[in-house]
Amino acid sequence: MHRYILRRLLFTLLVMFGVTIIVFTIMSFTPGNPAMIILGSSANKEAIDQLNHELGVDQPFFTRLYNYFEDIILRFDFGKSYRTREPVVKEILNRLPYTIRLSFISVVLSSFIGITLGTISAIRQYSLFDSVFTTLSMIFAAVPPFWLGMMLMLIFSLNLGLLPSSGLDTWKNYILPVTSLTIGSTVSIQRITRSSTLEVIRQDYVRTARAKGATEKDIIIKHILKNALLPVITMLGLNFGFLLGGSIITETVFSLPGLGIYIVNAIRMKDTPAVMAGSLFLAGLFSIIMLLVDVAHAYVDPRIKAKYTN
Amino acid sequence: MKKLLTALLVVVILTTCIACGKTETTGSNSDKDTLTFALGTDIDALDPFQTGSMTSNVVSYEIYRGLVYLDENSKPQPSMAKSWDISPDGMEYTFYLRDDVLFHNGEKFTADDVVFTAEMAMNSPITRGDFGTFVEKAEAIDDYTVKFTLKEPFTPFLLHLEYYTPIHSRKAWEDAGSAEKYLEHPIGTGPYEFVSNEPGVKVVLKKFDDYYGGGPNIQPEFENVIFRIYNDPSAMSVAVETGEVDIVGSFYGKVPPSNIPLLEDNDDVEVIHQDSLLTTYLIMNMNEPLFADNIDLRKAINYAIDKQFVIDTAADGRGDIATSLPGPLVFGYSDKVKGYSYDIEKAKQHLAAAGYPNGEGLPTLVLSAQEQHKAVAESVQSSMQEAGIDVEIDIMERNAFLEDATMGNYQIGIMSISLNADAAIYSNCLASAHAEGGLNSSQLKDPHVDELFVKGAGELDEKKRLDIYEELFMYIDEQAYLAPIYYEKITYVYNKDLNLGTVYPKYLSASEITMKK
Repeated sequence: MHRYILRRLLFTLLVMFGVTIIVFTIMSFTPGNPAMIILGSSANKEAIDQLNHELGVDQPFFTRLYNYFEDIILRFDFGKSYRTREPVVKEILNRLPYTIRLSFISVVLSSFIGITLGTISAIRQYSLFDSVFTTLSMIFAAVPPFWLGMMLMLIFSLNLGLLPSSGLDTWKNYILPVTSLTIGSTVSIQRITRSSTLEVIRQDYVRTARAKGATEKDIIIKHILKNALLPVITMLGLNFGFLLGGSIITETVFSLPGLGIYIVNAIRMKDTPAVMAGSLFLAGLFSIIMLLVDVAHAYVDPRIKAKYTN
Repeated sequence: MKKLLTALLVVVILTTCIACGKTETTGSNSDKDTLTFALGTDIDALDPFQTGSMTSNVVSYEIYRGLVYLDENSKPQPSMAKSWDISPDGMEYTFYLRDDVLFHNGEKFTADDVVFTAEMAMNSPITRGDFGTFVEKAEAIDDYTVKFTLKEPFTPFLLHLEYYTPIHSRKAWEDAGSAEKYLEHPIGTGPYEFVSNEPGVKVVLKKFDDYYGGGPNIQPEFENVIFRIYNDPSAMSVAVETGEVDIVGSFYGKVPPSNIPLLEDNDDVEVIHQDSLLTTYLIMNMNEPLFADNIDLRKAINYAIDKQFVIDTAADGRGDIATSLPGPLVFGYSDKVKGYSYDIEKAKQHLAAAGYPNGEGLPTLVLSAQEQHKAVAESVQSSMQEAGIDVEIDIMERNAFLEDATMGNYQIGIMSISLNADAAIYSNCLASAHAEGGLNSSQLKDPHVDELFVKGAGELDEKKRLDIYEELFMYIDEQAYLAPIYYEKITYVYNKDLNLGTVYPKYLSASEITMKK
């Protein structure tokens, strides 16, 4: 098992290497140069060239790529943001608590709600409960997250005046963004729990358990859920990873200082160090989450554990 | 029974939430001590020498003050300087400074801080391209007298002083040791001092008790000023409606134009539209022989643009038709410069004279523009189409467009600029020194234009200066080098209980904002 984990970690490093090259190349060949953006419209060519030279962006591509690798591998120096001249690692770490807090709460809530709803939907298949929640699930899956966020804001902040519309001052500020993120996450959890549970319910060992006289509660928890949860764990991992970097839309609507919007703004400003560090961070985090998901699989399903330990 | 209890619990929780919610947003304004602005982007640096971003600089404007300040007519008035003398040859400016000004760190302001600030202005990549080209040196004559020596007579110097010399404290810089450390706690002499900056969230300032009063000699009413950062214009619009922010607009952050009618109907907020220094115009690439060698084509294009239609479509009717690049608020603007009215017949005549009767033989022109000017581009396209000029639109991402425009990689394009209130600075858009990488995206290289700009900057007599600029802009108009479209209005949306004080062309002044009694 440990060897498996080690192999996966090495693979993660390979992934990050690939991400570095791809993102760096894209940033290098897209139009716009940082000096023009930083200095704004009042600068003249001489000042722009000078600043570009100071930032080192006028060097050839491979030189810059090599220097970047050298800096991050030997010195763990991810550089300073072209825009603010602050170390990018510091800026990312500033934003991380907000992103993690929101993502974590959303994942926890969505897993409780989603798994519960999905299981009940499967067990009471074709009932009113099932029809209602599966339909709601499909509606919310189809709804664009931007629209959902704005609607929540308009209804609860503007019209009812119940909740603040943006920022993160008090616990109240978390309600709308978490709701927005949770709804999106819950629908995927609910649907996959439902389909996975339906599959498991039809299995022979469930019928055997019923025949043996086990209580309904025991059957659901010990026999059905445990087996149905495998794909759900994968989905949870994917959702968490996605929420960490992909909640850009919710961050935009609710003006949350998260990692997603940091990277998007950095791309707009051609702030290469910020984009690179942000992308690497997300790639690494995502890989580790998927590793944890796989390890969790091993613990839930002994057959998988056996595969990994061989 | 369990279900009943659960239902009851849910009802109780909801009611509590509603109750809490309501008190939060219906607070009374009588003891309001904090003024909140919305900002459309994050702060880069609270130091105009380290960033050119307008969003950062409107915040810096509350922290720093300069030797002079510009009143609502953009005329320089005494601020940290009580008075000044200008030598007869216009090369030396001697400022007599106030001796009662304190920095936020308690240090007294002296001439040495002015010298220090001037050195920063001459070295900073943001300002040295302008300040560094006209200032030779600054020296302290004594503790409260400082003399600037210019390289050449430069009459708009006082105007630039406000923008280019927010006075920094030498001691604060030395104590900080580095630019990054300084930015953690910037020090100025303005009405509000820096308290904290949460990147991406908000900047908090509080009233500086020892503020000297500034030029207008006003003490701020609000104890605190907060600048909240919003990533989305619609969210900003909601925030001003719910009262979470008090002011939004202009360079602080723009609400979506489509929201403006809704906001105007809303009784909790006021909406005002002010004249500004912002001009939107069409540029023609003067590196291309198609335009450079054919004045009739340039005139045809000018006549073919229905400027009122552009204003009505792109700006909901808010704006004024432009006749020259600088607008009426700029010193050097002349109403004798007539511009080109919208006249399809004349456009067709000039098109024929250009060698393209009814547009035959004229290649399709590619009109490049940023996303924000999409509506302008489309209206221009449709009115030029009527004259027989075929136009294809290419909407680009902002930075990509700006890079192409400044380097001359385009055919025709939509630009908008907002400079300061003296025509001299428009040399940045029209003089050959600023082509290929500067603001002269027209790539105009006309020695006559260059010569007139130099003359205008160096002329000491105000009346003669006006004549020179009138001649200059009439010439540019005759040559139809570009096509001014309209002067934009800037919009502010704010809490109805506020009195905005003086609305300066580029910003508001938090120290002049008060609650209505």
